[in-house]
Amino acid sequence: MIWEKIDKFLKKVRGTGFRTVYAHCDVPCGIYDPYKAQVLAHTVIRMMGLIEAIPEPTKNEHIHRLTRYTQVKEEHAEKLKHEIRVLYGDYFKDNHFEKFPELQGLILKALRQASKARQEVSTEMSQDLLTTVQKIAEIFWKTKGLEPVRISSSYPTGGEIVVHK
Amino acid sequence: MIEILKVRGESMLPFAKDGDFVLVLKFLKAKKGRVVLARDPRNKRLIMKRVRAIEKNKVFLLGDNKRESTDSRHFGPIDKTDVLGTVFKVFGH
Repeated sequence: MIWEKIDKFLKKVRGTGFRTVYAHCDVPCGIYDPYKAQVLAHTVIRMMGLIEAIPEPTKNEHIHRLTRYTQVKEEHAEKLKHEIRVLYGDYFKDNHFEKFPELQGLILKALRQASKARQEVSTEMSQDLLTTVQKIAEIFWKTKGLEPVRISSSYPTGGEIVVHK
Repeated sequence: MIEILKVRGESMLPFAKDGDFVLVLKFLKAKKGRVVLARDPRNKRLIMKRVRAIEKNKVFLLGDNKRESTDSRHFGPIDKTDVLGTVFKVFGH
């Protein structure tokens, strides 16, 4: 993008680029929810299914669809990793990890599964990713003293979403 | 009178996202509904928010993405003199 190139050029020739304007949030808002990560996991499953359903990706139309589905899968798996990292870094505290010793492992597992979901095409693998994210969601609600429940997702992917009572 | 700035943060989503560039016209004054370039009254850092209300010499600023914004809800209305211009265009990245 042209402005980025100019910014880099300015940094090179005069040492500073464009000034920065902050559209920021510097107050810990305390608003966290594992819902988004689950929706993202469902999207990854859906994209895997759609990719696998393409018969022979030789026609232009099929190549186009395959490209779009793959792009969405990539983006959503990466966004999922971001959501998990936010929960890990900003929400979960030491006492949560003490109370739920499996939490650390589940977070690492979700991050690795999401990376794997970007690399490969496998509905089964993305289902495993959702399962891990759901387990994290259950722990999340327990840390808030709320009872987690599984409800039907109502998405084309079927399955469930973990919310609280 | 005109300046290009780089956006940091996500408090103005969906209007502008982190990494976008904005064209600011410094001769365009604050008006209700406009997105402005202003000085954070606490540390004089440059911020970008939308004008929610103007009363006498005070301007109340709000981020479009209220869940992730530090604005006049936290630091109160700012002086009109701390509004430096209006965001005229956003260049997405």
